[in-house]
Amino acid sequence: MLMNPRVLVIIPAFNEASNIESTVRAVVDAGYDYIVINDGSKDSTLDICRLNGINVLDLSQNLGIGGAVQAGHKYARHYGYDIDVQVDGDGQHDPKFIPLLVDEIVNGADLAIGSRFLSSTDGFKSTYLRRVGIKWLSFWLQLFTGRSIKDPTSGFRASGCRAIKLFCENYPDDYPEPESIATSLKAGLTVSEVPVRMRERQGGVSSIGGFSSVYYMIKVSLAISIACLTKRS
Amino acid sequence: MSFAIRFGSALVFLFLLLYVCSLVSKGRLLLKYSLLWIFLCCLALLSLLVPDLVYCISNWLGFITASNFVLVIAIVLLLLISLSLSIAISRLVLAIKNLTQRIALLEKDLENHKRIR
Repeated sequence: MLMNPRVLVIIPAFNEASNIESTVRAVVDAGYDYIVINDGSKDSTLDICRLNGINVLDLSQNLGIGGAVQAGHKYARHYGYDIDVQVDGDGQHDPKFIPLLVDEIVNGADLAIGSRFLSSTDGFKSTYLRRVGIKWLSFWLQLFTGRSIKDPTSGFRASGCRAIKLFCENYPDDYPEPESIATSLKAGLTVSEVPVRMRERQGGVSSIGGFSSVYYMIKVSLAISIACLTKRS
Repeated sequence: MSFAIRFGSALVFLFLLLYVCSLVSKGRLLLKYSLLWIFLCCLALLSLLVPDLVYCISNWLGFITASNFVLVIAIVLLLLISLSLSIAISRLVLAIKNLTQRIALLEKDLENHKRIR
């Protein structure tokens, strides 16, 4: 791995007009290149980006978080970045942890997940029910891949060249985080976790809640099993 | 099966077959997706023309009444058609996703190009 890798921060944004400016500013202050992926937002996210000269990739259709993040990976590949880091547009992810994720990639990992549950530090660790869901997915992943990933739903993650290539070719559409870990492990990539602290979202609404959380659990569990049981060429 | 039922249903399937063919010729239905429908129509017409064939196969397979056999065949064919539709939709979704991403990247390239100029 290179000593001075080119790092791109991918900021997927769907209706994040109220947060996007502060998120981008925090990333710029941390000294990273970034790309905001406007995932067909219905609010003024795109206008705010254009007005403030924010580097934005505008998807004309809403593709869902998976399609948006994949567009970011494709951008990273297209412009020759060595590492890309996904930082959600809602301000949950603190850019000061980006160097830790990048270091993990430089030290040989292909995919570095920012985990809320590795350290005993405080910070936002989600609600009780969600933690139960996360525990389940973590167990399910371990069952099928044999690897223990404490925070499989974390969207705060860095990908190295091999992971970027894999994700450009194949990335799940909705709720992609746990499934993409399974895909990566199955493809023989090294996945590791780095302790990070997350904040509570600073605006906007979560994509998961209510009835869709049941759909989420079923879909993701099934996706992990299928990803692990099928042979990849 | 009375003559009226046979004649009536044969007419319905004949119209369906002609309609599917006209859709294909007008380009409103791709030949690829019409094949299962054409197959279904031909099968229905055949069994209406030669009902003894249906009774014979149904008996041989052990169905108590031939109508059950016909219904099973119909349901299986409809399931196949819906599955083929799901497959077609999935392919479209994937294609739209890739196209949307590519357009966005090309737009970005264009934007960068203009800025350099």
